[in-house]
Amino acid sequence: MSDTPSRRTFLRNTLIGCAGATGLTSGAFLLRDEGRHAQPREATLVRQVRDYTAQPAPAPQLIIATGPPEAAIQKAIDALGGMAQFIRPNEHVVIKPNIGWDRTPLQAANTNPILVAALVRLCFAAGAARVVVTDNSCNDPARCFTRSGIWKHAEEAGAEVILPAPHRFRTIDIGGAVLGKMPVLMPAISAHRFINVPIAKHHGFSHFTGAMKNLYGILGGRRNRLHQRIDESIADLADFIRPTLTVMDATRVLFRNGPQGGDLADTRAVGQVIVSTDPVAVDAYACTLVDVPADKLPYLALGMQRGLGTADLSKITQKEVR
Amino acid sequence: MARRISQGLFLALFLLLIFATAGLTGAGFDAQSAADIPWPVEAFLNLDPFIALLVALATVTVPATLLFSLIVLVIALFTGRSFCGWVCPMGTLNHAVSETAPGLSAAKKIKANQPARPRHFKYFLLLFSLGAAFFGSALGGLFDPISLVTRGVALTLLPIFNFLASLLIETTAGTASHTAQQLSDSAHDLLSGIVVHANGLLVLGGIWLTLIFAAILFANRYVPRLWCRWICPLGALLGLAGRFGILALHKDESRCTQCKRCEKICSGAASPMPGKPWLRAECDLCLNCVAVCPENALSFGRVRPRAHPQREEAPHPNLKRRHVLTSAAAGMLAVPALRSGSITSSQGRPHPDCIRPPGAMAEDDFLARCIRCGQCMKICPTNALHPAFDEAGLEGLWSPVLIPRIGACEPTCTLCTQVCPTGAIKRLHEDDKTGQNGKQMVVIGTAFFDQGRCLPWAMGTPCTVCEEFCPQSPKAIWLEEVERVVNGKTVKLKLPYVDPSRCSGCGACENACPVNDRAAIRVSSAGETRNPNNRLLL
Repeated sequence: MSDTPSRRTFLRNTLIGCAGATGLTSGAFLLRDEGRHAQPREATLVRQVRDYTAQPAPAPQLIIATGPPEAAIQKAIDALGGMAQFIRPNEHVVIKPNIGWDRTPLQAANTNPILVAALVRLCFAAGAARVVVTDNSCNDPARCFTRSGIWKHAEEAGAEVILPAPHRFRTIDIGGAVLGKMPVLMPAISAHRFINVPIAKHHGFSHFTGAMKNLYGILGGRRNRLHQRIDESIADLADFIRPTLTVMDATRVLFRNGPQGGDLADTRAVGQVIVSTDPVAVDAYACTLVDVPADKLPYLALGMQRGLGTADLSKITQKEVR
Repeated sequence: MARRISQGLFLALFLLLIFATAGLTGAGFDAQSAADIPWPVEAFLNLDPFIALLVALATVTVPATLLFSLIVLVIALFTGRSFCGWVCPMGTLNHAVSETAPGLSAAKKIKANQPARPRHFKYFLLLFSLGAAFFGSALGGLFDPISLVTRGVALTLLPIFNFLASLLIETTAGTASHTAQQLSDSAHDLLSGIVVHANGLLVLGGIWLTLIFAAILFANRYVPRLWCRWICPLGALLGLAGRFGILALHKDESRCTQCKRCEKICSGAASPMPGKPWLRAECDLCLNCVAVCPENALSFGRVRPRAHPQREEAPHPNLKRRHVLTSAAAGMLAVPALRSGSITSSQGRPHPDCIRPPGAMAEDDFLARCIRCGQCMKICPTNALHPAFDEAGLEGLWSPVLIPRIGACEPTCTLCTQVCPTGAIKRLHEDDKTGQNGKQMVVIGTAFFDQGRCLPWAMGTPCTVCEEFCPQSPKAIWLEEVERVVNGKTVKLKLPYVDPSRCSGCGACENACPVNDRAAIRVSSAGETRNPNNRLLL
């Protein structure tokens, strides 16, 4: 039949197809990044510290702002001298809330979405060119990002909300005491400035999860093994990421059944937002809000040893604003 | 032409309903939104009278959603198998392969389009399925074309697309070019929720589904629409229903030149050529024969008295009574035969790995409804549901089971309960799963520690990831603080225990356990709400 290709046509078409496929493959081969792609699942970068701190660094202060989240963050940033101290025009900013769980805002397992949106606006007001909001969730990411309210509020404020996906991770040698080569969520660290926005929560294993522990959310891979040496892992991560600012959401806290909660009875309204350039001090203060004394947290001492900040609140200027 | 447009549109709608489940989540949704499905993704299954008949016979009730199938049944009463030729997505796929794959020469095609004896098999399969349904099993759903094509697309094509798209996205993202990376980002955001599944898309044992689906499509090269002509029980049902239809093929024998163009193109092997009786029950009403006839010898129109009824039309398949009775009896006997050795029926011992989705009915009621369409497995956001191979016995082949090691049941997700077309999985509210607001918590199983594999229990190593991931409040895993001397050093440990009264069997613990090959905490079906015989606590 005439519509059956002859052997000659078939061979020709096959050859053209093969040549096209070879061309595409070699194109991709030429484009690939030797450094990262030669061993895609292996680390090839040397150990590094991601330092996002603003220079010149203002003297560390611990600002405790009381009020509804939007007003509280505004006052806290004003008390630190304004966002311009931390973010310069045209910079790229990453905001890293806790979007770990399929929970609604009142259940206080994720960062307050209104606080996240307010921070996004403050960054843009300071001239930021791009603000990214991202996290690596424990539950299904799409559900976490939706039901936390952060997807909607952050996008309305103009931020780019980036969900974790396999292609967004790269293996990096964190080079800590226990954290070696780990897959890292690249959009979370690809910026000029990094604002860590944890929520103060009880945690069954590490007692309290706040600023330092929130950085787990930039890791991928098998992070469930880190619990075997949890305090060192937390300190390693805090050593790896030096945030520009830490903004602790304590508008509503989870004081039991952490880190997921699930029952409104596990939460209570505190109405505070704590801001500092010192993540250790923020944790040392905020843990008391969920009834955990700071001396129960070995990772605070480890953080101090590594010069990441101070857990001794008498050594830092505290300011309360309302 | 009109037929092709109709087939194309319905196939597109079918694929859209399967692929486009994005929009459940996103920036457009409020925090309080339940992340529900906004449209009826199971619509095609609801339109299927064969499924409705199976469930009606097996349960002596008809779920309201299946009443939509009356539309198709009524249309069939008037126009026979028009659904097969104009609507059915499985039929359209078979049709497309038959027409595009150059498998047969013209002469062979005419030969392949002669009515063949195996066409009677579909009636026997229909009767077998109805017989089994009469005895309480919806296993006929395995052969239903809509169920088959849903399974075929959702559980075999989709994982392949997912694999290819993910590979492409990850490869381009791995290049040094910033543009390529941005492209892969855009591609991901565009495709996620459609073919790129956030948590991967694995179908355990899916290769068997793929092979069968591929074989059905491939068969079209030898006999066009072989599945539709010989096997499809829905086609059989619609063909029977159309016996007293109002449309008929009229043949003008005086004009016919025996060119056989009509036979070459007939999609149903229904003998359109003048001089042979038209097989009403086989005709898809594709109208190809009318369009292709150069002499205008063929036309479709209202039924009118025929000059030679015997010679012009065979209104019903000429089945032997013996075969009819044997098929129905075989279906009836199949149920006790399948259940005699089964450990999943209500009398038997529950299978520990037969963890059903939340909202699944008691096993007997479940098997009376589940048609193995795979919608629940497709929609599951954590890829937790998989087609059973032997967990539910041979009768439960490809019915859904939850495998926590692959994916846990999300604490507030009720998607699988929303898409089940037959009510085998009852519609649940978020509160039914969490047990909040005065609702009784739905339990699908219970977690058990394997203390010999557990880091703190067996190895003196701190770890309580299971407790962290437990979504219950208060948690269903509680901790005992102890001090152990490990290699001469005192170590503070927290030993985890399960509180069976709080455990819902969601498997978050098993899924998160760092013992990667076989978790140190595993869920089994014990304690499931749906089975009183499997109850654990007093």
